Amino acid sequence: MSLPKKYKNTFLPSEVEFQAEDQPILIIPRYALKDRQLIGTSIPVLKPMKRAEVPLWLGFILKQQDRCNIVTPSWLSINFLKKAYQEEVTYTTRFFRMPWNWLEISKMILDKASDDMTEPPHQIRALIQDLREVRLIKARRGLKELNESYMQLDNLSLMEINELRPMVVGVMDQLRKLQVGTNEDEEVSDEEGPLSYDI
Amino acid sequence: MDIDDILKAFDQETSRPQRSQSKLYRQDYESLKKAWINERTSPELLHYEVDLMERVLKRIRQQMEFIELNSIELQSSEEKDIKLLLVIIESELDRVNFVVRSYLRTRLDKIDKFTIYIHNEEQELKKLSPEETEYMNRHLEILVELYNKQFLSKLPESLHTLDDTSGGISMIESPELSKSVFIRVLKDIEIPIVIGGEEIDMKQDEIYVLSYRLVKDLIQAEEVALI
Repeated sequence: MSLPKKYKNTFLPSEVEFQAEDQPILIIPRYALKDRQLIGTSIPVLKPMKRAEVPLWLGFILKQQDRCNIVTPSWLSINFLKKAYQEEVTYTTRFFRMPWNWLEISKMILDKASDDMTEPPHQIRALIQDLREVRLIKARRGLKELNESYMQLDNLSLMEINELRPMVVGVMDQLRKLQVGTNEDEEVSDEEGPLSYDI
Repeated sequence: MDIDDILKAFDQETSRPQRSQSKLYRQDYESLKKAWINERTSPELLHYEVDLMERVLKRIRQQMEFIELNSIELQSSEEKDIKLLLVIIESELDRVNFVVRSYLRTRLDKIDKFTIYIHNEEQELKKLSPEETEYMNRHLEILVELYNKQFLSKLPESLHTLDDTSGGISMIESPELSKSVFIRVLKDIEIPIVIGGEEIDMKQDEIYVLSYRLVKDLIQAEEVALI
């Protein structure tokens, strides 16, 4: 009751986006603004044309009011994304390392600050989509390896993990229950040390 | 004197340099988000962040006062920037409030679910804030009264208990510690984790899905983080 079911043990996509909004971004202010301490962060001194780093959410407020331009992160470029795609296709057993919130951040920048981009936004958007798809296919293929003990998912980003979460957790927990069922004699004890738990 | 006392002493200092205050506020917000994420993703109830919450709630109150004070002045004020500043302050306040609310609601949900289990365990009771303890006790009281009035009084006496553990099946719902969780390794782990006879060496930045029980202590030691 205090927490609707869809919020349990996972995050909504909007909550993953919320987490990404705290990531820093470079902006080029158009007007000056005094610095100020907030609850969890602070507004730096803003001087026209002098680059400053602010949380994304703050950058978007300033952008909306036409008080700054957003500097597109270096990874959000045609060159980088093409390279990432190539790596992704070449190495089939591992993921290329993208920023922890790359999907959320690229979506927000494309939606809210595409006019600040130096490269054509539609091309960037298409490359992001391609990269997302090839990674998704890889992740799905990897799910065949699901077992009851553990799985390693290095370099997947938060949004990608959050999408896989319900399915992966569900399957692993079921498999574990079946495993315990077949090993009834080997009692699983809570008293065992946390590092030596095996079933 | 533990770290919280030091932080508190810091907070009360009036002549503090601005940068360290800023750093402290930032750290607290990061800790708050971590507490929220941990509470949302772990199967059991975690310890309530007493000092952290006190500091954050105080800053929220101060910020609300600032908004109230300045929105009155806004009508007369000539300065244009105050309007923008208020928009920024209000947005940030909303963000912090959202995390606080979600954190507390997640806890209440677990308290509701595991009421009898928590009620019976000394260790679990220590995890609650005074407000949460009061909430749990009243909730349990009301629930027992409702059950009694509605149907328990019509059943044989031997079926009245709500915490019967005989017969191999426990009526008490307890957290499922073997549940799978996603973690990110924050630093190289020295002692390998053993799963089903296999040893895993965890290295920084790796991501795993595994049973919560295996990494419970590592989460507390902040060597791995729930995600």
